[in-house]
Amino acid sequence: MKRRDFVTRVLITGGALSLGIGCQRKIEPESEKTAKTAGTADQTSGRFVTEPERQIPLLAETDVLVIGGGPAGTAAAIAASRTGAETYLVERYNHLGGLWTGGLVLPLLSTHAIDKQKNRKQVIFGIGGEMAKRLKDLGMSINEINPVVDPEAAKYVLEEMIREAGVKMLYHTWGTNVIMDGNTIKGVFVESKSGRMAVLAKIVIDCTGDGDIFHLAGDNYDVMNYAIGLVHRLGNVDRINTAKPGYVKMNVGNPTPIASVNWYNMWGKENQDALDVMNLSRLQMEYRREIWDNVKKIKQTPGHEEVFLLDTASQLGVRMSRILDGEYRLTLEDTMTFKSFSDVIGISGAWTTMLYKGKKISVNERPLWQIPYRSLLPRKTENLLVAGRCFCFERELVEDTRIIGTCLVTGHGAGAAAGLAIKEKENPRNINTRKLKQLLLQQGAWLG
Amino acid sequence: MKNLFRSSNLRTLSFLFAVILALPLSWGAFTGFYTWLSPFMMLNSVLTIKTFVWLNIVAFPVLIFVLFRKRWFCRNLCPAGWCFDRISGLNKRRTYIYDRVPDIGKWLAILSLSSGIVGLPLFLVFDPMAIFNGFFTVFSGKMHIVAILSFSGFILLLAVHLFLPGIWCAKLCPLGGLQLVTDDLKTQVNLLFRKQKPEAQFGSGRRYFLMTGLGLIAGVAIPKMLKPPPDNVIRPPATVEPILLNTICCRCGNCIKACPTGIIMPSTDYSDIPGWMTPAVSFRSGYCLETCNLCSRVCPTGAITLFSVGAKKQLFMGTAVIHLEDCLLFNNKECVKCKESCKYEALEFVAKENILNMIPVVDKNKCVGCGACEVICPSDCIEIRAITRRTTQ
Repeated sequence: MKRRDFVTRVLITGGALSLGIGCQRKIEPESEKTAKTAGTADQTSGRFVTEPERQIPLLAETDVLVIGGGPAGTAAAIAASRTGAETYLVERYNHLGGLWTGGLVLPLLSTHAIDKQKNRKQVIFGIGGEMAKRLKDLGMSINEINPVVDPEAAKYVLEEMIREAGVKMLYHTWGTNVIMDGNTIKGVFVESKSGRMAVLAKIVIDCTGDGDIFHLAGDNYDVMNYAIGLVHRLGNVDRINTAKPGYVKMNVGNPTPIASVNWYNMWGKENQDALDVMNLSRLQMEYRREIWDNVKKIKQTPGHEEVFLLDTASQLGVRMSRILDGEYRLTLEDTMTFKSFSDVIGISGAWTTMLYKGKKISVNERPLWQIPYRSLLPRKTENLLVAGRCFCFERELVEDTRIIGTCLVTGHGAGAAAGLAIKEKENPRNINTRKLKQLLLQQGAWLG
Repeated sequence: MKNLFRSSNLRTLSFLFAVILALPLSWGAFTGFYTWLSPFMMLNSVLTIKTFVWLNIVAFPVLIFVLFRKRWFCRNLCPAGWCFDRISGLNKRRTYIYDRVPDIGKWLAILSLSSGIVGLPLFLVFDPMAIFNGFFTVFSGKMHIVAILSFSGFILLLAVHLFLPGIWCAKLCPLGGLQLVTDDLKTQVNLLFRKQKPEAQFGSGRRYFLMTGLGLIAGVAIPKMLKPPPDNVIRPPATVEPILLNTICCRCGNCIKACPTGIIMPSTDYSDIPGWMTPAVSFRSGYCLETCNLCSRVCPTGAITLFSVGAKKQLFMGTAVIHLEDCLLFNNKECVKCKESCKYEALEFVAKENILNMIPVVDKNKCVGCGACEVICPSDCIEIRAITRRTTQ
């Protein structure tokens, strides 16, 4: 055979072989064993006791009943009462404002966002805006954007507004069970020092934050475990002596309207079940000790001798628990694209950076976003509205929906809707959204 | 309709089609589809990596067609050739005949293929589809001066044609050269079948032999001569080793154009000139989406190995490093962005001293360096660092 033939054949066979050796090129995921997630251990004994049937005294028969006196509940009660509906507000502690005041989560976040013209402006008005304004006039809030308020001043202002609106207040009372007629909620059993009592209402607004009422009413929901913290405040932070020998800068938290007081946030343990009272109790005890030890450490640092622990929050900082499965689920996309809803009940702003479609959208570029009325409506239960951090949204949105500003907006929307439904003698599911928007505008809300 | 399939019209149509697909207009998996048509690219890729992807098949009809119709691809489909012809047409003075110029393209093709078999396709970057597609990368924005210069090679070639009309297609193009090789092979095979003596027609056998040998030696020797490229560049997932990348990446810019978040940039590192225009990752505009494998799907050469979306968690691009002093969480602010953005569960918040001082901690075995946390971090305290551990097949 000639050399040239040989070369040619080698080339051909070489090429063919190279192709032949080759197999398809693709990296596939390694198969992995799916680890079983350990279920949360049942804290109860597993045994049951039957509660005897009994007659419950009827406390009141009202138009609107708001369960939970946090930012959403307070706004809802004020809004409903201002439309002329008789309104009861049930609150388990001795103050209004929930996590905002008693929980010491002092910043009213997401007050600002950019509009379509890229101007950053205030978006939260209405009852929430009124509260912020009153606090500012009292000199009890700092920062123009996302103001930080004084908790005692906020408790006072909220209570004054409730008083002015003529809401009937039930402090030290828990909403413990629902009174149902088929799929329609007729009222709520409340428990207090006076024992168990019933409050019948035409419309109930669930502002419990944990969604206790829609859970009891049998609606569908999603449960999200999140970190739970406990906020505390430090006093005398203005008397830290930085000139003292041996001074080391310590973390003493963030300023509040009162110069000598700082609030100290805690992220806390991750992935906590906020619906398990054993867990909450355990966390409470653990956190209090950690806070005490930390304050002791601060006090022992030269220059910090006068700092003291002013108070720990009256409730754990539960960030998230139940999320309603409502008529419309608000999505991250809705909040990023100026999506406009025909049944908008309020506009909320932005306070953190977000990832959207792989890109970073910083706080200063985040658009304002509308909240539709449908996301406050449960699918099953009639005459029930949901406001606060447990209304219907996508998990990706949680950072924006669980905060005070958004709660105030949804609360105002739900309250006004309930008031309108009473006035029009309509099922809240069928109210005229145009009229609702008109009413909200009358009440000072801003709808874009 | 009849006119449509006339050669000249088909070619213009093909050119327009190629331009549209080459422009960075979010064509997804079809970005720069013409690069798949080039048999030169396909053979280099398949011979070098010794594996194939199904899309390589589209180059086979072209390879077979040119056996029956000489230079069929050049005459009917090649968009680069269309441009060169138009420019050459502007030169009205005379027609050049380059009889005395050797078939450079043919030898480039042979050198490239033979060096590719042993691991380093030397002249893959001269593929006309790569040059043509690469030029349009300039329009993807965010370009560096080096990138614009490099991708302007196409403009330079166009300018050359004003003075030397037709020179590229006739003599320089390795894709054209490859068609000459297949032609020679066809002749040879025909002769073998007919049991005729091949001497008369197959005169260049000696040169084939020499060039192939030279290519093989170059393919073995050159990688040993090169100094290893810097290791601090973050590459797209499943990118081949840096030395191989420098030659097997044809600089077509498909990955840069296809990337939905625009994080793939041409490398313009002055200390690594052989690596210019290879894909590098910068997380300024986004992160490597956990649901995306477009860069690997559009890569016609296998420089970015095709991977399935599910495999992303084992394809390490880098790893996150957190500078705690600026971390909001460490400073007791409410921030969970890095953990929330991590799609690989590689970030945990742990108590540093006590529960009041939580810090984010990266699990290096899970963090693939997708950059989501770097992008999202409101205080810019996370940085992705390249790591040497890469998964390739």
